[in-house]
Amino acid sequence: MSPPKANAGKWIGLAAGLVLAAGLVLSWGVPASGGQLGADVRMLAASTGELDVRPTAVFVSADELLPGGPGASGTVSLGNITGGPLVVETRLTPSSAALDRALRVRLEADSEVVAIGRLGSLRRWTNVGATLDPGEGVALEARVDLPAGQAAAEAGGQSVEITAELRGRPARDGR
Amino acid sequence: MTATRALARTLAWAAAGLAAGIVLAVAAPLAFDARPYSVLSGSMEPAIAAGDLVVARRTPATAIGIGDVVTFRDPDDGARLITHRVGGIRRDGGRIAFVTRGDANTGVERWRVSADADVGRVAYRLPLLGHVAVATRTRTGFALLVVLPLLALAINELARIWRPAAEKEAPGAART
Repeated sequence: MSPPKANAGKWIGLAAGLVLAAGLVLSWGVPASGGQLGADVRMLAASTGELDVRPTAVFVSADELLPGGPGASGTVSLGNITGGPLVVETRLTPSSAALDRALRVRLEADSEVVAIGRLGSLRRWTNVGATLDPGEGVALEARVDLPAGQAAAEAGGQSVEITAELRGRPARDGR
Repeated sequence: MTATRALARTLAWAAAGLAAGIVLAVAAPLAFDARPYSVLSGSMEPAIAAGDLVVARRTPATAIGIGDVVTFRDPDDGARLITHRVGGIRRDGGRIAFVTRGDANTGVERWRVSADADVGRVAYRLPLLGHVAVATRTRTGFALLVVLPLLALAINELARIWRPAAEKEAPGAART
């Protein structure tokens, strides 16, 4: 049998080792931290033929849009290439519905707000408030952002490409 | 017993306690719906290094939050497990869509689970033990890390059993 002193040393050593192991495991914890991903948004313009649209490529490009963040914007220029006056309309067709409730889109024609709302609400044809005479043009600016809130929190890591379809409808009363 | 020898003995027991504690940290979670996984890549560095062992506890998918580190099946290769941080969560009817990304990565993974499913949430990591776990899956590693220590332990125990008898016989033999 071991003497009591030797036994005490054994138990003290064992306990110290176990306590050290517990301390180390606690310090090696992997806590949740940060991690909120932003949303990637691309917007490109597509014309139905009555309008000259430039550029037809991506004109709004935003990587890692975060809720409450500054957002992104881009401008596309439209020109009436028909022989009569046209009322300009647009509708937004996203590649997925992931940002329908989260992404706020604001459209301005020549610096005047013509449409503002969540992406999902701009899927219908919307009059951009511009009537263009033959040869006349207008600059359409699109601004996108993610207002803070539950819907925006669900936008993390989503990636959406939005096609802004643009068409000119003949104005009934000329100009 | 000299003081130095007593101290050495205490330190040896402390080392044994430390080793037992680490083994417990790997094995005990198995009884509590948790599992250890070896991390093979550096995609979560610096939070988790390649070669670490992580212990992930089964957690309802609804309880997972942004920033949690989770272990899940690779959406592109169901045989592979990935441990990455949750960056996006979206409820989609009866399912939950997750977007995850390694802290050191630029690409993301998108995967969905049923809303009543469980997901492995990483609780802690054990540095370098993933290398050991991987090594034990090879024949040489198993021989070196499992068979050899067990053999050494067995030999030590047998020596302890035989030694007192030999010590008892020796003084008697000297006397005659």
